Amino acid sequence: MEDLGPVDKGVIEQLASITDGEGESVLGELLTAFLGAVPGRLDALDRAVASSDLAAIGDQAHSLTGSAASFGARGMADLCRELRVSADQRDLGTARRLVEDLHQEFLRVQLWLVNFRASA
Amino acid sequence: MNVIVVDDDPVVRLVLAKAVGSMGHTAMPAEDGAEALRIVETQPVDVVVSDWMMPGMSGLELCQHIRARDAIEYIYFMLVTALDDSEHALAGIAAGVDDCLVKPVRPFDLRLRLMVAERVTDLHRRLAERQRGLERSNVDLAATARQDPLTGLGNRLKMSEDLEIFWSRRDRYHEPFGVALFDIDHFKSINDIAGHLAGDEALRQVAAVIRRELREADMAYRYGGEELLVVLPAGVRRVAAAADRIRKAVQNSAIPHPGRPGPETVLTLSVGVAAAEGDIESTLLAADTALYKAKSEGRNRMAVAERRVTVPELAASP
Repeated sequence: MEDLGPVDKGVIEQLASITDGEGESVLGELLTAFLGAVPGRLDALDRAVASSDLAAIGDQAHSLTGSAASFGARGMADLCRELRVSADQRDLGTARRLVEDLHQEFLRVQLWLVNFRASA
Repeated sequence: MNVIVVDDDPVVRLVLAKAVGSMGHTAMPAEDGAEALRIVETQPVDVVVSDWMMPGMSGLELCQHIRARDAIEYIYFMLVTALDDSEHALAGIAAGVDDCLVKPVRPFDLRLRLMVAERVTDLHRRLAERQRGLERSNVDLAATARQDPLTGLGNRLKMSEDLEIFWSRRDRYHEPFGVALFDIDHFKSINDIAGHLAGDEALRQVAAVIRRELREADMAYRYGGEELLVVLPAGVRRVAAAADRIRKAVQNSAIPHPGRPGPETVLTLSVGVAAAEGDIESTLLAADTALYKAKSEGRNRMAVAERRVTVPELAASP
């Protein structure tokens, strides 16, 4: 069975191959940027859901898809894609549920990445 | 290479910029198409890696803007699309995109694609350099084709073209001009006594003196054989004054004249001056007639063509 954790390890290993001018991996810097940016995005999604702003939900979901996919967070990326579809379909109930799922999924991703960083 | 990385998501932008930097290139992050275009306008750019879907200008529109520029340098354009976006990829390539990457961009893929991009931009750069070289050669050739190789003065072709320009200025802006046709006195004896190389050298030296005496707007040509034509944008009095100054300058520069009959031992010129009147042919003919008069009156002197304007005091030289 393939690794079905919250993060695709292969993607993170690719990111770990990116180095700075001294040849040092910049993975730590990238992870910090990602982990620092997502909570703000989730807050924005919460606000958009609270105000029933379907356009904002769609935009935020699109933007977060890119970040999540770049860090191998495939579960998050899938949820974001579903969220966009629900926003397009004006299905606020589904959107609300998906945003809650995203919060949970991000906690799993965060834990995985923090553990990966600690073991690296 | 200088690589612009365009993505509205700061995290994705950071990842791409770091990846580009780790491959030895200079990353130029831009948050949207407008910022990317500003960079393109102000700095040398080799490659653009752009997200397709962005607020404001799409990646495709950015590519179209870049392709519409009137620039000789080629910018390699890579579009980043979603996995299920093959139609957009096709439309992008058709619209001038060079390569498509699928999101999320794997650093290794980016490395491969940038290697291709470097090869292509290098080829374009060499083509552009060759084109610039050819353009320079064309300019050089055009100049060479209009220069008399012996004296470095303009040749007959250059003279014909310039006279047309002088003439149209005269017609349009009433700018007068005149011509002075110089001939080396007893030139044949130089060739006969000292050989043709000595004759060539004498011509070169006379041309050098004439060039020194001219102002920027004045032009000098090898009219044929040992005849040199000077065109000056001025009224006939000033043309005649300049022509006589040149005649004296050549005499004073004491260029040896072997085998010359008569008392003079240095090279001298006779000159016929004519104001631009009638048409180009009749003006040249008038100068030639005046030159013949100067010769027949004893050489080493100037004659001014008979026109409405006469300069008897100058024509009475030396």
